[in-house]
Amino acid sequence: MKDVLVIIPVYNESQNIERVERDLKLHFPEADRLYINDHSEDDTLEKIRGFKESKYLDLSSNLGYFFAIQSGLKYAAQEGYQYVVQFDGDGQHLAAEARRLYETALKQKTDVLIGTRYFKDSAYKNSTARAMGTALIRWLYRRLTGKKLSDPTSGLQVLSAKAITYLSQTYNYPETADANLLMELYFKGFIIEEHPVVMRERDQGESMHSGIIGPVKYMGKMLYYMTFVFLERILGVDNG
Amino acid sequence: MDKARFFFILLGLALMLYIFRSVRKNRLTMEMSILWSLGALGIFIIGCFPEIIIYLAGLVGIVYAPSLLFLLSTAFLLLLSLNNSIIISELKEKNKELIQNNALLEERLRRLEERKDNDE
Repeated sequence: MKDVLVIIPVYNESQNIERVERDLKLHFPEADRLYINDHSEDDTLEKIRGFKESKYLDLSSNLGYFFAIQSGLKYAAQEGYQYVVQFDGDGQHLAAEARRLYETALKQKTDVLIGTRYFKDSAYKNSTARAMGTALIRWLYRRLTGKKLSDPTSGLQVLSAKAITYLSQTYNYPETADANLLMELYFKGFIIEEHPVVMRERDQGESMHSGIIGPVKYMGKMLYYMTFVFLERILGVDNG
Repeated sequence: MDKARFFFILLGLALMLYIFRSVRKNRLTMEMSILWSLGALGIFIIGCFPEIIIYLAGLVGIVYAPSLLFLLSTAFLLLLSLNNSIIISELKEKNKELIQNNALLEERLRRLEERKDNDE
């Protein structure tokens, strides 16, 4: 067994999954791979079964992206991995970048290292509505924690064993867990840093943040969760 | 007035009977029936003694007594609905844990079987 596990939650990613596997095998060979099939309706599972050098979990019902991630964290905690790299199965993340992020995490000894798309010279484009939402979350995060968070929805993250243990045992793990969860971890004393990465625009399938209702709902939820975590903090409530 | 009283008593009784039957037929757990039974009993008692509402309204200074009835029933339904949300949340959490643990166990089993196949 290796020290680091890449967890890849997948839902109907039949078109992208083989490329992701090839990319990771080639450019991040020092990591084990765990696919988490979130009850896909296409032949994603059959394709994952064919990846002989990778492991997979098969969720018997659709739990959603973040609970799929948590399943992977539970696996990592059970098997005793030192680091987990969260990697999206839609082909947006690049294995070489994930590897670079992992090496940075090792060097900087972070608990959570977030791969951020927003830095100068970044070619990453965003719709205006989404950019505004991101700006609002960023601003609130900074107000409430005093720390900078440039890419609150980045799925490319490296977690330490300490963070893995904490997150795999969290009761009431939020079903939408971005800036709110990072805030909680920050308040609990985990070391959270950011590092620039290059990401690819998705070319197959739909982003989970597409449409109009979706992002608005997401924003409302995120603002509520963040306020909640902050109130827990200032009221000194500790739910374990 | 008597007609309304009769209606309330009947409604309370019918509800109690329905709740009782549901528990007997295992469609409702004993625990979940507690709040509902209390509600049905409340309707029954108010049907028998409507003076209670008038007395209570006077006690808290509500001039139009029936509005207290609405207030109480709304508060009761709110409590019941919140209680349901709590139970649903617990169920969702437990269900999620089950699905995740099931996936982990299934993966371990697969590995064990592979090892067994390789040994043979």
